[in-house]
Amino acid sequence: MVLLLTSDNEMFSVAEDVIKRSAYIKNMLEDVGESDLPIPLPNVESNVLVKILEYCEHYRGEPLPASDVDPAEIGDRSLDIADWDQKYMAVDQEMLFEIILAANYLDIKSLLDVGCKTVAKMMKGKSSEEIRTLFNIANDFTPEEEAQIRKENAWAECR
Amino acid sequence: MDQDRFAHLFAGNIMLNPLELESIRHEIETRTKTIHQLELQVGVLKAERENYRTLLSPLRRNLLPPEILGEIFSFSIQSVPESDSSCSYQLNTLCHVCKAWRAAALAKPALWATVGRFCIDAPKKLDVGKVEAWLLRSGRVNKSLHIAGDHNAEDGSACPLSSAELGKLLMDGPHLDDLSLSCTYAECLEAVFSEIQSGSTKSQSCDSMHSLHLEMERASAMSFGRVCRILDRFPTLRTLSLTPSEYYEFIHDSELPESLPFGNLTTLTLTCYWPAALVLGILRNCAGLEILILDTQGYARRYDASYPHNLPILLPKLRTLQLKEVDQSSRDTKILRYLRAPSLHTLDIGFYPVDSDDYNKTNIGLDIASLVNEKPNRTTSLQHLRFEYLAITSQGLYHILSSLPTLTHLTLEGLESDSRLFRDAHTLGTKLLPRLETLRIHDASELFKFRYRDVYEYLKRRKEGATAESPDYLEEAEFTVPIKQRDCDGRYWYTSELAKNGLRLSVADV
Repeated sequence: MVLLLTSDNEMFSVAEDVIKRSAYIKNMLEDVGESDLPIPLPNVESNVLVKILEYCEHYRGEPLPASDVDPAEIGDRSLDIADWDQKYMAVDQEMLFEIILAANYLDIKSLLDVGCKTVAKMMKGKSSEEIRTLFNIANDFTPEEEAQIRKENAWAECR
Repeated sequence: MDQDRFAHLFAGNIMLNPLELESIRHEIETRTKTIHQLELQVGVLKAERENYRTLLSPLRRNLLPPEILGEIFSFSIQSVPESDSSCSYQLNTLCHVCKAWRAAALAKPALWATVGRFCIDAPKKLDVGKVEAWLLRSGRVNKSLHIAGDHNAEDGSACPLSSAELGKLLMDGPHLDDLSLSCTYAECLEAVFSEIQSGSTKSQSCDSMHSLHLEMERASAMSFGRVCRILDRFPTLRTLSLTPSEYYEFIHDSELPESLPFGNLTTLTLTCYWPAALVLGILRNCAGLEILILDTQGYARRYDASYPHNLPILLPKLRTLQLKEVDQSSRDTKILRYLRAPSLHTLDIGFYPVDSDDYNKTNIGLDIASLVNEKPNRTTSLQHLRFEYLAITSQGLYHILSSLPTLTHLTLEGLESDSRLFRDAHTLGTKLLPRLETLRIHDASELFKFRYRDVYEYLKRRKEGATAESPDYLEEAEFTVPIKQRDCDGRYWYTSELAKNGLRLSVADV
């Protein structure tokens, strides 16, 4: 078992083959070897780790991605998301982005991809204004800046 | 409320005097106003609460680092199907959201590496400078430029391909990895290339180009040849995709040039139904080809009886040959008889779906036999074979497969045949496909009552008949069964039995 300590000081005891889906933890275990000391996760809160472990548990036993894959290599760019992953990602926006951040920190590429695809899907077919509304983002461009960007890319504005 | 004043009224059913009535109505009105004011205040508070909540938005707080935003953008634009313009449009939309998003997009060069054709043939005039600026944002990432000509612009503007600036972009602009030019008229493509050819310096953009797609709706053999001859200006070009015009006698009255600069090509896709003599004339220049795709789009190709059969074209490095949308009734696989491909590893033949009347009109067996039997330079190591919508008798299929003992992977998609070949395979003198490792049969015909059970039984016999001296290499079988044929095929029992002999059988219904 591997001990994990979250940022809000909760301790989790997790099976090694479950948490090894995280390349970060996997590498740490390989570098440090067996230890009774918990691995601190200062960037992950307990409620988020619970979600992350749910994902790792679901895919327990599935082959891990090859470690020699070039991160720059373009993989599957479609927005297809497996049924289970879609249900797993049916969370509020706050949690969705926390999962993405945790997946990035823990280096769980498949989960990061699912998170990014989920957000990309939410934006599909939406205008800039609709995207701002969806994610509560303020338009911080000045009218002059907006006009300038529009001018630069005018040819790409028709579809 | 002045409860005390009206306390006696609440206690019983008393007739009210006019003064009391007036007072009570006044009290009701006062309360109504107060409620309304409170509701307004609740609304204001709710709005304020929402405003505060928006400040907690993870994206507003820039919680996501730019590299993750860039990944999200990458999924967002690359999932856009088919139309490149939508990719550009989507990227533009993302850049308009806020400063942080624009910065994140600009920090991911791969997002800017493709300029699509549809955004350029928009009514607006092609602004080469802006296209170049867009591509330059992609830094060192391989770049693609797709431009479609347009002779129907409502504003009367000239075809984008005739722009001298485009020629300049291809001469001096950013290095391109992939270029696609299409136009109704070959002359417009000629004009672009002439611009490059007339340049005094070496072309920078085309210097590193690996892939080129040219599409000309109306091109004579001569103008096609003129366009292609200029390709010697592209020394790194390896992949060429040509879609010349439909074939018209009156514009193909001339021959192709004697030689075309195709010696460095490793991949060629030719989408047309030009007569075999013209296609073979092109292939004669392609000695380095490793992948060849010929797509007739369901049309019949003409074979000139006077073409010298005894002078087949040698493609010594060809590994993959794909014939797409072959017209089944016109014996279009005949082109195989004119090719020699000693290194051929993969043969993929897709027929244009036809009515059952065209069943077995093809001479594909003889055509493939010619490829693998005719010496010298016959194909000796074909391993992958795929047929799509092949209509053939069991006997015809047997003739093909028995001539290919080196085959390791066989895929039959939409096969129009019965299953007798598999049912009777054990009665044949020699083992069919002795090296086979993978067998895939998808959506076999309902018309010919293809029985999957015959195939399962064939696999079982194969496995049971294997010995140390004569091992069976089959490891995987994958079938998709049309829904009407699925009942009572015994798949579960066979799956379990075959697994005992080391064969993975997977069956899905469609």
